[in-house]
Amino acid sequence: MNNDTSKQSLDRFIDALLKNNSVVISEIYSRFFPKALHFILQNHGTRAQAKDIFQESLMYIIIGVKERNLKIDNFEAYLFTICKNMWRREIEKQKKRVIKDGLYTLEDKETNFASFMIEQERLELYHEKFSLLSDNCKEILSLFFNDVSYEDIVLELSYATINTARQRIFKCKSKLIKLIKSDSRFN
Amino acid sequence: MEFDNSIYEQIEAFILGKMSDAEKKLFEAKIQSDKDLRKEVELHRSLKHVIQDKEWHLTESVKDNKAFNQIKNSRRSKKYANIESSIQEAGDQYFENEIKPKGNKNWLYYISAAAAVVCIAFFINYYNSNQSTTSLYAEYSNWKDLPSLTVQSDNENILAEGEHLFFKEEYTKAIMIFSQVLIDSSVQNQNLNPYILSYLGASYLELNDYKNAIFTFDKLVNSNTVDSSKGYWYKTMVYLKQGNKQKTKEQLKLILQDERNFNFQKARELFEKLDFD
Repeated sequence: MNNDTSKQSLDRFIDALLKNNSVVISEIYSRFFPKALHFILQNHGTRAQAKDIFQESLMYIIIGVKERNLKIDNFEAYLFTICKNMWRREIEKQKKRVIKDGLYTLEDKETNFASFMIEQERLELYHEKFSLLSDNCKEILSLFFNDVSYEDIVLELSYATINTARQRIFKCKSKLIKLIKSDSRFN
Repeated sequence: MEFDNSIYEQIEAFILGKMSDAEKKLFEAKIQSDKDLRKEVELHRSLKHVIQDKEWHLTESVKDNKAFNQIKNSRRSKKYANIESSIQEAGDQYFENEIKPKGNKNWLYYISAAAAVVCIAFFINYYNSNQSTTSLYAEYSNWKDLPSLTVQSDNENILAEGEHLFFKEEYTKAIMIFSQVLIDSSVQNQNLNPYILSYLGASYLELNDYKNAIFTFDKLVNSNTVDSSKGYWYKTMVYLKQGNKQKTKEQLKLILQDERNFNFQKARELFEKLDFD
């Protein structure tokens, strides 16, 4: 029962977005924007940037649902994830500072949006495939991806030697890559 | 595309930075010439972000993706223009209601300053309705209300320096700084770009480099941001300074198409004055 009611309320927001219901869109702002704003301000952003990110995230959900077959279980959580990831991406771009030739090679909003969407969809695919791995693989890969050294992984998971740990990681990683590559969404 | 284990080992060593300089060079050359390998390396590199969510992996090959243009076109499509403006309005409204405590003081200051300018302008205009475009330019080109760049993060110092130079009327130096920042920020902090473009264009204009001024402000108009319409106003200033009434009016008409455009009121006022003589 609980599930049903929560599903209904989340559909309400997506529905409002798809139908351009301005009253509910205002409600989305008052309910969910503060959290996104807080996150972005905490991570060296400004209010104006938070506003842009939030807006683009809502566009993400609309276009995702309409054009990309996006399914959302929990509107609030998903919206926040998108805001967070979009902002993390922004920060990453700032770090990269790619110097390009010629003046004003501005990347337009749509290019930015599409690039993010491809990357986000890919990340979701990775998550999905990662969840299919065995618990043991998940555990060792989590350590490995978090830059824990082989030495520490050996200690943590009681492997006999560094080499066995290395082989295990290699196998798990290959498995994950295989799962990802065999999905039609990966291209 | 399948690769054998030795390649996987190389990829791993490459990503973890465990190759010697020579090996690295060789491998990089290999990546350059082999698209599949390049994709594979990218996949391996991005994999760790499944777990680690501190950073974001920028995929270099996104534009090769079949869906890329499709998404881009959807985002641009008229189909979503209405909903986008609703979202924008809801956001504006939210900000108006929420950030009064902080923003109010500044805005009051600007509004009263602007009101003072308008009053003075009105009286001058009253006694001298046949104003030249030159004096109108002097009256309306108020660069003081360009948003300050010093409060923004990151690029802060360099931008503050540019702003400082601009107000010291060292426009050539300011142009150098702002152009450089734009090149650097071409793929990053786009939220700042409208402001940087404003300063850059204004610098060109102050140097009477009309061509570059227009070029820069066109970029602003095309930036597709909330500040786009400022580009129209600034272009108005360019034509006004040039003494080109016809084009000035054309720009003003663009502003007058939508009340939400930057300096809508001022534009109406200026339009009337130009019509007058």
